[in-house]
Amino acid sequence: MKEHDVIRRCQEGDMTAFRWIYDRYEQPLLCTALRMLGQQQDAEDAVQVTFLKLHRSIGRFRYDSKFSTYLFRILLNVCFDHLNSRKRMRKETLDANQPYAEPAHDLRMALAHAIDRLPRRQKACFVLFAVEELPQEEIAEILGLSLGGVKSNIYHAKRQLRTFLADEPGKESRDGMLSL
Amino acid sequence: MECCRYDEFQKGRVDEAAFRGHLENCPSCLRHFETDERLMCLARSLKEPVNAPHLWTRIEKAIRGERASSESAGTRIVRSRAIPALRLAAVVAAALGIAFVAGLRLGRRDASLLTDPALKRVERRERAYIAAIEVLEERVQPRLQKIEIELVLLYRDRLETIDTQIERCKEELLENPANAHVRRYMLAALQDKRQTLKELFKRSS
Repeated sequence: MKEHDVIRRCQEGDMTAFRWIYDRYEQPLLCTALRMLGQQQDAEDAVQVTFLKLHRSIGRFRYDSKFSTYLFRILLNVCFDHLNSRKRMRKETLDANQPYAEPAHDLRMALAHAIDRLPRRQKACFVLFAVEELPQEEIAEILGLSLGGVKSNIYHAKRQLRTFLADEPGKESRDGMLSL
Repeated sequence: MECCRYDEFQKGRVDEAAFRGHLENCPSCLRHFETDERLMCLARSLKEPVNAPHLWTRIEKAIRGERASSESAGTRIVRSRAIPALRLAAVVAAALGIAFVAGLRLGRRDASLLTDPALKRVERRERAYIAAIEVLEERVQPRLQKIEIELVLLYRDRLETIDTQIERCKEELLENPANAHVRRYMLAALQDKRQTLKELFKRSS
């Protein structure tokens, strides 16, 4: 079945077609949301909100961009909203109440923690580029940035990640694997 | 000394072919390049399946819930079929609401406009008018099943809005029975209700 036909059926309110879209994009969206938000429950909530927003707005989708770009744009906006509200909540809570972050013993876990600490735009650019392997042009369209802006964010993200990974506890055991 | 060529390449300021050539002669850039390659490889390994078995059920339930609530509110039919008369009625109802609130404020300033005998006469006629509308309402109720359900829902919404306005007028009049402004707004709301019921009656016959 062609994606174009599926989208048209979705626009007519066909839930089977909507399920097809879900099956096609569930994993990339969940994975991106997980890297953006750091917790699976938050990632699932973000994907749920994304599909609800898609359901409300799909009637207005006019193929001005790729459908995947449109969908990722919704997801990233949902994630940014979530990060903003989390930031507000943190401000209202005393630092002493913050959960203790376990030091990462595994290199992948350490990288996941380090990504979580990136500024949100760098994080989005890095996750879409390095984890989801999307072309930089598409990332620019999703995030509403220039191509140069995307390149610059990825560059700064990589630099930050190198620094974060070098500072993480347990770094000694990883030195041989990732010489930073 | 650190070479800055790698940074330039990362920012897209140096052509890839030229940078590849540079790499063969620059150990500093080569080290950065290899580190980043490992970083990217590690990042790709984060792309692993996320198990969320109940997520679709949650999404489907939320979508169906949203559909049901929007259908019951009648918004879908207004958007898709665009019944101009009902839209106009909604605007009129909203305007009436605004006018009512404004009237309440104005009314507080010059409250006792009605004299005792005039008030009694107004109240008597109001009661008769309300009773007549209630009779009309009773006659319309059994006929509703003959009308398209979506239209009934729209009319019901409109009637509820009008009834709310009438109730607010009545509450206000309990405190200040001689307020002629509120009486007029209540009369306008009652007339609107009578008109709505009349339309329903026509559609069902």
